Amino acid sequence: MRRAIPVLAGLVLLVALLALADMSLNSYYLRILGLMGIYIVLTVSLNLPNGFTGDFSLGHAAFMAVGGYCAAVLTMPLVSKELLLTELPTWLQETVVPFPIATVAGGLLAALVALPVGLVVLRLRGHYLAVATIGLLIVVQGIATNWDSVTRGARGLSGLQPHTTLWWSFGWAVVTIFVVWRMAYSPFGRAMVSIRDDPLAAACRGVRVFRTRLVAFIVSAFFAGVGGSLLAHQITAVTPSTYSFDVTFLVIIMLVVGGMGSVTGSVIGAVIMTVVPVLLRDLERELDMVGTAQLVIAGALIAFMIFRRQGLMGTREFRLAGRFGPKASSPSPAPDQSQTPTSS
Amino acid sequence: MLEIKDLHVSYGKIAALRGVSLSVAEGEIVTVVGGNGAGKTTTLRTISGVLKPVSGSITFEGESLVGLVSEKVVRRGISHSPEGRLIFGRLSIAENLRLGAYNRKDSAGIASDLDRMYEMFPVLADRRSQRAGTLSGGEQQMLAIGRSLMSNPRLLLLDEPSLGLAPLIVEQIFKVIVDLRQQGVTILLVEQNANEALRISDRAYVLETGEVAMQGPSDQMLKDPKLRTAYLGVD
Amino acid sequence: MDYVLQQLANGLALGSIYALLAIGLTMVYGILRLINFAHGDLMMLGAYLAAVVIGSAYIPIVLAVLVPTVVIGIAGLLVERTAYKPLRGAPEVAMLITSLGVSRLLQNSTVMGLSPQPRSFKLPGDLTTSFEIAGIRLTMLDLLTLGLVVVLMVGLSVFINKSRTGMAMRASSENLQAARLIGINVNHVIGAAFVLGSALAGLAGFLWAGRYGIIDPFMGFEPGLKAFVAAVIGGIGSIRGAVVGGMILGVAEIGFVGFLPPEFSGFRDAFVFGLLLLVLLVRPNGLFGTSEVERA
Repeated sequence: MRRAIPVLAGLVLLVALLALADMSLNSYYLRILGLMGIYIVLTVSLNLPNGFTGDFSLGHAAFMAVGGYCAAVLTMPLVSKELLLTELPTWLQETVVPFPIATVAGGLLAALVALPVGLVVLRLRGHYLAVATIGLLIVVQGIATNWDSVTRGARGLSGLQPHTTLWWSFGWAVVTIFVVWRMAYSPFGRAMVSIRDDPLAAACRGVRVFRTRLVAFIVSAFFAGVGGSLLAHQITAVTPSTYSFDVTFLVIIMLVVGGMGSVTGSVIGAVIMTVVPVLLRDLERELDMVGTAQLVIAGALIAFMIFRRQGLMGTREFRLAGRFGPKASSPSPAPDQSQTPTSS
Repeated sequence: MLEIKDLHVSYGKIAALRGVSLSVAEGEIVTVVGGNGAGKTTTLRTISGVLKPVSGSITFEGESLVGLVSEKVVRRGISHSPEGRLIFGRLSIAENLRLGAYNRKDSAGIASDLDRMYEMFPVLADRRSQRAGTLSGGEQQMLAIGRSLMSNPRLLLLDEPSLGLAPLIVEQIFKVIVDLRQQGVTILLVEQNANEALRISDRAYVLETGEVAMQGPSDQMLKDPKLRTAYLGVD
Repeated sequence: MDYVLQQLANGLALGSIYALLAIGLTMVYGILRLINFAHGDLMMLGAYLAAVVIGSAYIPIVLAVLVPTVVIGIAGLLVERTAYKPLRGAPEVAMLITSLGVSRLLQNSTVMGLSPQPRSFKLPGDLTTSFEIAGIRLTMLDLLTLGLVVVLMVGLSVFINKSRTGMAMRASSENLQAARLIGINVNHVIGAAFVLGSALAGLAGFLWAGRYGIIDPFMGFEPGLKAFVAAVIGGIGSIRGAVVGGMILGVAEIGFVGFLPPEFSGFRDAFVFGLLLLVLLVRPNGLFGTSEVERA
């Protein structure tokens, strides 16, 4: 119970800050802030496979695309549908779904896609998995570009409503953090980490390795789908390039900067790497040199890998709770801490 | 010839060696025995530059080896035949031997050493163009020793040469080691098979959890009651 | 029949370029267990260099092949020494992320230094001449491509199998630790693999640009990925496998576009990666590969 107090306090603070921001910031900064919430969703969820089970996926944007297109088709106003999507089946043509439901639907569809995909690609590990998941992204991009009747190909779907307010993006961020934290610091989380550290040893200890990896992959895909929907309804349009490899790359950077295997690290990484590119883009405009921002970011990533491979947080967590008494720090990332020692 | 003083080595936060000192004089066979995790392999790996010590000194013929990469250590005249043999299974036997001489430039010397190896290990001579992976365990061990000798070392580090081999083969390997000493190679031998190793060596060190627990002439060690129970499996 | 042969020839020409790229990827992966995501971007730089040579009045056109090869070979070594070498012994993932970073770095320095816009790439006239052999239309460039691949393949296998460095390369790709222990300077070996592989990528840049007539800063990433697919099909770590895998991929990709109704052609990349998944699942060691267990 005492653990809940600082968390609640944090939530209240967050709500207050968001309300303040909502009132005082102009639309440009509000957009950046909203983007920050979306990136938190994406980074924290990508941490499940990439940081916790050690399955380095590069296909996050593929699941975002699935969720984003799905939600976009569902929320698109009837007028736009009549104009843009004439070949949809009638029932889809005539339905408009509220944004929250469409977002969940997008997440669910992404998770549904992740099931068969995971069954196939998770038979691989390491580099092979990385390339196979990029392959998935390219396949999804190919479908998005060529499935004219649903995606309108390269033209994409435009005229979406700007549903993604600060409240939605940060609301989902909180949900994502909550779910991933509960998964990470539970017996399931210990199973994930043991797989990352040594799959064989984990299997010997009775961890159901494949199932655990699959669950992590699917949950991650769900939130990617949600993030895809949030992004679509912030920029009010989706095209194949909305979910290009660039997005995967940016989220990977956020993950690496924060520290793979740390939930709070992911949040910190997402916050920093939302703000930094914005600043760099200003610089780019001033210098009038296209590419500067991306160049600096890529260089910083390399430097990070060379000099601080574990990211800012490593696998540690940042916790306010620690200051409120010794008991508060009990959900520890140390794998076996809560297991009672047995004489062996 | 080789002088190690107060050597400390860690894997991350875990200390593997905690102040090991040992020496090997020219022409000696020195054995290091000890249980699993005592630090035997770590000692050899530190000498040959795979691991960097936290502190302590390693000098070979008066010059420090600390901080040298493996390649330089080999050039100084130390060759390491690693645990598990680590031969290149997809390369031919001849290629494996040639790679042992990677840093030598004297092609005449290499050729004659190659012949010497085939003389010493006739099994290898018959199959020189075959893939090394097709050799049996004992033959692979001979190849690994042969490969180490191809760099023309003055000091040979041998890590568990008898591991996993049939008794008859073990006999042969130990005979090779004795022969090598007669040819002027100094040997630092790490062995689980303490009984046999002590029989052929001049002096021995016993390592326990990263420290030297005992040392002395091998024949005395063989008689030591404590050692006999702990490492020789007799009581 | 002629149509089939024509498609086959086109496939082999494209496959040759994949093969050139795949050789570098497979050599580096064999030794370092690194998928060099920046490999395709080195190809892109090669294409730009070739464009400079061709566009310049002062440099003989013949050098359009040589300059990218040599310069990109050196560039590859530079990348290795600055970005990858500090990561020796680090987890695989760290190297993978770094190579993604390098890829981005190369793309965006091209954007910054030149322009993000595609530009056209004009081959010198003699290379675009086309002629017919037995009903198949080929350009000089196609012939040059095929010829270069054959020559380089032979040269490379002699180098790998007979030379001292080649022997050390094979040993290092089997067991890097053991190679280091017996006194092989593995940094030299890794450097050699990068120089050779990148040089071939530079050459591939010229050939690719000549084939498609257009270059842009992002042109390299996907061919790089596809070349990795080719390397996997052939069996990663095997040079022969890289070449055969490249050819198979080229022929399959051209065949996919050439023999299926046009509305499928947008899915050609999807098809390539579908092929990758299939190979990985059915025969993960590829056609000529040895299992990771055997190389341990």
